[in-house]
Amino acid sequence: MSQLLLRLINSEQFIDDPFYTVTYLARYSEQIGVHHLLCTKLREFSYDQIEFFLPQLCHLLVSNDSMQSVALEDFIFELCEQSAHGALLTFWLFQTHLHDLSGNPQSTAFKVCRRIYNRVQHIVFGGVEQKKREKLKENVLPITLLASLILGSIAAPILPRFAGPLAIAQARKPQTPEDTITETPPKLVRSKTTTGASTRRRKERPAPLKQSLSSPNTPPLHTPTQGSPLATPDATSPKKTKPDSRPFPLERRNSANDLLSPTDLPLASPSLPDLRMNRHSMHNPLGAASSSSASGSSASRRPRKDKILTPTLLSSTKKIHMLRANYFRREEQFLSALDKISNKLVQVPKPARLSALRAELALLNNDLPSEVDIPVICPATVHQTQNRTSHHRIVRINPAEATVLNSAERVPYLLMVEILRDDFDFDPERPENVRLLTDLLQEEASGNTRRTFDLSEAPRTSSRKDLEDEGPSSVFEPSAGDIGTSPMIGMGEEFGEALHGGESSSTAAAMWPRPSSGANSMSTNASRGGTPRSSDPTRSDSPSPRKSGRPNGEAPDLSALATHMRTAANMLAQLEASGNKRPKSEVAAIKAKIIASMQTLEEQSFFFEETAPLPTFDTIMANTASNPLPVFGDRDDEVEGAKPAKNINAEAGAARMENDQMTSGVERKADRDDPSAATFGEEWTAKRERVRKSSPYGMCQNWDLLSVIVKTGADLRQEAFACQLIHVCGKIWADAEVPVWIKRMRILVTGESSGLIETITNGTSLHSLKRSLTIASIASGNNPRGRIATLKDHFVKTFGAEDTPTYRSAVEAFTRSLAAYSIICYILQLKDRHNGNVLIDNQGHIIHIDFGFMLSNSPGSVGFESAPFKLTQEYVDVMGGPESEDFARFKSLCRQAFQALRKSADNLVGLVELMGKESRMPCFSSGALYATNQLRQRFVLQMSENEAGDFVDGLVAKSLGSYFTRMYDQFQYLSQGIY
Amino acid sequence: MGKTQSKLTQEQLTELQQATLFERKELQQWYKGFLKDCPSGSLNKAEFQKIYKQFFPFGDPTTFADYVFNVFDADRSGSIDFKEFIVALSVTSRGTLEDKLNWAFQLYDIDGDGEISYDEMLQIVEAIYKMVGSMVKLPEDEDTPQKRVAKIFRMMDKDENGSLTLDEFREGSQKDATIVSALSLYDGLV
Repeated sequence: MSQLLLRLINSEQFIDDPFYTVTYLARYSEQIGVHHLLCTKLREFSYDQIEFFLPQLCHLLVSNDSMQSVALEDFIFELCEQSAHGALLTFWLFQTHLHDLSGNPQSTAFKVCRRIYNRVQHIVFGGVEQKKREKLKENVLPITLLASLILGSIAAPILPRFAGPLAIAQARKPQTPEDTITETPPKLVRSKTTTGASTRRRKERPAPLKQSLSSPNTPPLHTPTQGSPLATPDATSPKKTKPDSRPFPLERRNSANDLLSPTDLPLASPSLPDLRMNRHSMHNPLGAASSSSASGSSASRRPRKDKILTPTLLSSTKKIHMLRANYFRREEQFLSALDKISNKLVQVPKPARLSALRAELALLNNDLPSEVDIPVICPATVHQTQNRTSHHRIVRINPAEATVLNSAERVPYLLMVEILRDDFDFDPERPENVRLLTDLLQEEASGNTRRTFDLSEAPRTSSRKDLEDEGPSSVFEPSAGDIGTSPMIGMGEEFGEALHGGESSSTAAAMWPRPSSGANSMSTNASRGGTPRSSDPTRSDSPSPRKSGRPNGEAPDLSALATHMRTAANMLAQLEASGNKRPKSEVAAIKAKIIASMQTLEEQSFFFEETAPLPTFDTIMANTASNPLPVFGDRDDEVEGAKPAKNINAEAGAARMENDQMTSGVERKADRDDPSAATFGEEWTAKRERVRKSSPYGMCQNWDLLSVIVKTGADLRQEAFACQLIHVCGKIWADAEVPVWIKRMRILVTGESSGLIETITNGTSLHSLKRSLTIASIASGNNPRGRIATLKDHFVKTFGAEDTPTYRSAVEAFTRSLAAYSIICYILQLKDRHNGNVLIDNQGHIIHIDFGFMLSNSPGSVGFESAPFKLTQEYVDVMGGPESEDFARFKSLCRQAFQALRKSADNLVGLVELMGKESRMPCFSSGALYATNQLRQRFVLQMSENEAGDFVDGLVAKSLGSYFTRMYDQFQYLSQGIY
Repeated sequence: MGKTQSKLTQEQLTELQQATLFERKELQQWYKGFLKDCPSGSLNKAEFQKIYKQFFPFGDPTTFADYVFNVFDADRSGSIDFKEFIVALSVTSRGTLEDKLNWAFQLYDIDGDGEISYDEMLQIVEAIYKMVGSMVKLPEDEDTPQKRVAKIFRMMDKDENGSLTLDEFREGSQKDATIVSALSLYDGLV
């Protein structure tokens, strides 16, 4: 058995992709030797490959109480030392784990998590590591082995060389209970287990007076974070201060919690030490630099004039470390600022949000360019040959291109981030790094480390003041007002108007504070004229498409329709759940009747106007769920006589489309003026060129543009996990040469409630496509009945007549992507598949987004979407109908895709199982075991290959025109205005 | 010292201090660790083998583990108590090269006649090769136990009588840099 395992681990499969290694790490978590071998194998993969599975690797560390091996932990530390992105990502991941586990600080998992977190933090922000000669702990078993390896040395010196490092690593394993510290009181000194290490460090770095004094103040820095004290006792004990191991204060959390309150200015209140000063001393690279010699260390404690001011006096390692620490600090400050903006926007009235966003971004630009990038979304280049990594530098965030997205509660926003590719690294010999080091040392010496991207230091009021001062002389119309005084707020004008009207752009212009230092903002202003939002005067006076709908008087009572539909849907769902208690024929008859009534409703529905408060999906579902089960005999009355509900809304649909317009560049203009252009307004490459022309950095060869959405207040971990699973499926298909297509999406999780999402730049939701086409056709008078446009209409309009090559290739793209996503939707049980969550890109591919519901959770309490996957009549129509060749090809691709996944089922299931353990993700809310078992069953592994093929045909047949799918779309249309 | 107690007595500490290179405080610390991993107060053969299986999952470590166990188990009681453990730890981590070789000699002198025969050495080398399995790529001139033993004897068996005395064993080992470095595997780490 073990030989088989060894052969497997050394097989091609394992060497190709860390996927297998990662799942085997979970499977053999109790086996030390296997674990070490697997981790040795991990080291053979490229950074990119490892980064992809970092969430799994970190999750394994905290979720696995039975893990005896330290190999994985050591591997992670090594990764953090080697890769700046790896360190940051690990740091954030453990931050989210700590958050999850903070409810139970006595648990082993929490202690392990905190220990690793502190260590990673130390690598990220602390001094240079010196762990090579780290003493062994009292781990008797591995030490017994070590002793016997000595015995065997003579017979086979190769034995200690091979097994020694493994045994030593295991013998160093921290003994959790002793090694971590009780929470209270914080002054508790760590037990004597680690005296060796402590004295050693103390000798090297005598605690400076400043440190000792500030130590007692440390707890307040941590307490506001999340109620889980993360401080190590070393940090809080004045006697044993180890400055380099004190946790970095979690400023992002602090700032997120304090929001706009003026007290979040880090300028001292007597009880709170100045964060910046503290950080300054904590990350003092000179302290670390001087640790090697006793005289040097005392020198650095002398008054400031003695400090080293030229980088040449520092060792190369120290310099690299300084540069890395600078990057980590800036990065953390940059992302913290993005978070802060989002939190600020929540408090700003909707009409003013765009202006506020742009003002904040203009401020942010003052500190750009800087040593910042976006891990995951903007991966650094690893130069294999020279063993170095170069990062892409963010140089500018064009305020005019940024937009606030519509959302029920939080305020996500879209950024166009300008970067220069491969523009910075940590090579201490590069001239610009020498300059940077000089600056850093000088800042250090002056004791005045500047916090970059510090929006709190420029409170809103001051920018407003700037404005008023500048107002009259501005080239832009200042009369439009600013946030505080704008009449727009009083007018309560609809958000979309403010966003798209001419007024708002001038508001935005006026909102920009006077540039304090930078030519950046100046050039931003100067180039503003070229950006579309501010240069399209026709927009402000054209009527919005919503107003071009049919007159109110003619609008049918659609709220009533929605209520009917909901009731009917509810009944169907209840039937489905409890149906087997009734005779089969009776159930079928009832179903048929309900469905017939729903179809009637469906035919009645068309475009309508309605302005009512925006219902969230949850409230609708809650209402639905709380409705008593109608008496079946009375159902006709129920359906037809139900009272109209007020909570339906077309606004939501409009808002959704606006989001699409912002992210994908769909031109709203097309809605009214030019029906034929109603699809993809601005192609991404065109947009990039336009932004490039307007950028002061545009002439740089390595200039590029990223489109990202900043999301705060949302846990993106499940979203990221779904993207990962989809990508894994994609890779399985690529390896098996199944010609299906999926879109890779990248999400950066920076905390349990923050993150960045890469935008799909050339895709628009099906909802928006249909909505704009419908509106356009009504407006042009070609659609008197208000028929809702179909996907095929879109294909014909966008890609040409049915027999053209462009149309053919679009259908081909559609078919291949639909097959992939159909199987994915079935396997992963992706739910909430309304047309707002389904995109079509400019080549015809279908792309699914938004993975809040999968595996075992679904929207509301009702299992609406019971079809295996979404396969609507209009999808089939695009492929030429159920008898067409394309549809046959679709079915064949589905079969191939499913067969390929089945071959890797164990590993896919393993991946899900791994992440499900102790998970807080909603997709595991009904239990990880349940979710995993259901997933395994969906692969129908008991079937032969032929049977599985037939099974897929069955899935297609079941999905095709599923009443449930139609019903769900109907429900979304009527309740959310989603087409 | 068979009975499980939470702390070492003063007499035990004095005795162990004399038998090892550890301070009293360290001994107390190690005793605590020993009890944590071996709550019964000793380590029997089965438990001992289990450690090996953990670390060598792809080979068969039982034979080698048995030989090693006998060296640890100085009083042949069938289990390793704290004293036996700490003595082994003391020699292997803090002892001189000479100390280590003296102690290691016991492993190879299986029958305890004061000399290591060719067959005895072969048994040990075979046990190690079996344990390591295919995990280690061996140089061509020692890729079988026979080759390795022949090499050892060429190097150490000065009088070419087919067996190694303690002196030959010690001298020969000290001349071989790879053996010397292997013997200092975890010097300074304890």
